[in-house]
Amino acid sequence: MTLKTTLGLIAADTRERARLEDKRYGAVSYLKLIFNPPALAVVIYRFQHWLHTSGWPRAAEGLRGLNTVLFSTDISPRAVIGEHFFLYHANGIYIGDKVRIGNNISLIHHNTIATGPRVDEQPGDLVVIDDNTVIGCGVRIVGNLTVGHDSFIGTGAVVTESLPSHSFHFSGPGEKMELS
Amino acid sequence: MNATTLTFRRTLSLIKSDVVARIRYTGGRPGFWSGLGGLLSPAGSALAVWRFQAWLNRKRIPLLNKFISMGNLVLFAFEVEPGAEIGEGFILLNPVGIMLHGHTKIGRHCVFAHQITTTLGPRIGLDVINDYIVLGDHVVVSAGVRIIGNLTIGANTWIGPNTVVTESLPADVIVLGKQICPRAALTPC
Repeated sequence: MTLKTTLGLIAADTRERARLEDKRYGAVSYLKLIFNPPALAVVIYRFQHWLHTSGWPRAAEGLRGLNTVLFSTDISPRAVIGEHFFLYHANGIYIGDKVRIGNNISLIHHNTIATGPRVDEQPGDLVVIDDNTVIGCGVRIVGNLTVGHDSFIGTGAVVTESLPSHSFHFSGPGEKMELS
Repeated sequence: MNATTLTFRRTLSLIKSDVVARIRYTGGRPGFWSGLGGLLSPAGSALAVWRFQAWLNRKRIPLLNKFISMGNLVLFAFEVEPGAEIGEGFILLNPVGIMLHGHTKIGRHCVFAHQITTTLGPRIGLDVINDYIVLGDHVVVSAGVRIIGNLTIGANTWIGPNTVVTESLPADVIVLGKQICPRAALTPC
């Protein structure tokens, strides 16, 4: 992860944000980052990840602390997030260490994506979220699992087992998952 | 933990045990630099400041606690009343949205994620003097859990994400939503 790819990812995020908000993409889009907490939180994460991968883990942890204090958004520098990552609201987001997130993922707010805490946690656990998945508000994804691509996880759902691709998950904690 | 023996030295040792337990839990090796990093991380500093607050509360020093509480709330959205009792080796993974009532007693070596509420009410039959929320040792509480009422949670219990607990739970169980099963099964049944 070089600085150039990091800046490229930030540019891709900004372009995607302008497209989703139905605004023109240009220099003003970058100026608006300053007044947009969720966009700024993602930018801080991108720099965090760059610092972590280029041998500055403690500086990355410092930025993570800043992100937590400013926006209540705690994204681990070890998490790998693809391009076009879209946060709607920067509040109560927690993305843990062993997480891989694909392209075009949206989070709303109060989301947890982590391998723990749980009782049967192993060091090799990994959460994988494939491309084009929308994750609603209050969703908790906790476990050693994979969420397939083009999925939709509805408000307040809890995911503790793997989901296939194109799934439409709306169940509460502990309820049986159903495909439709 | 007995609140009557909460001296300043005891507070410092509790802070140290928290930091060491958190480093061990996240797979690091406890040392000077990792300890400093753990203490300066949001979760570590919020909890350490809270430990100091609990000591201030024990010494009955007025007013100062209110300002410190405000700082913790504004910085970390961490709102634990100083009257609560938290045992040693408390592993707080993330300080955001933790809201614990003063009548909460937490055992040793518990693990807390973020956005956890323990409160006595609002509910019918609320008794703010005698009601207590008691968590045993080694309880693992996942993100978004709400624990409401006068209840006891047994040791070694795992409470899954977004679960609402309104009744007492036995020891060694896994709770996820409306399901409850023995911990030996490991995955929710």
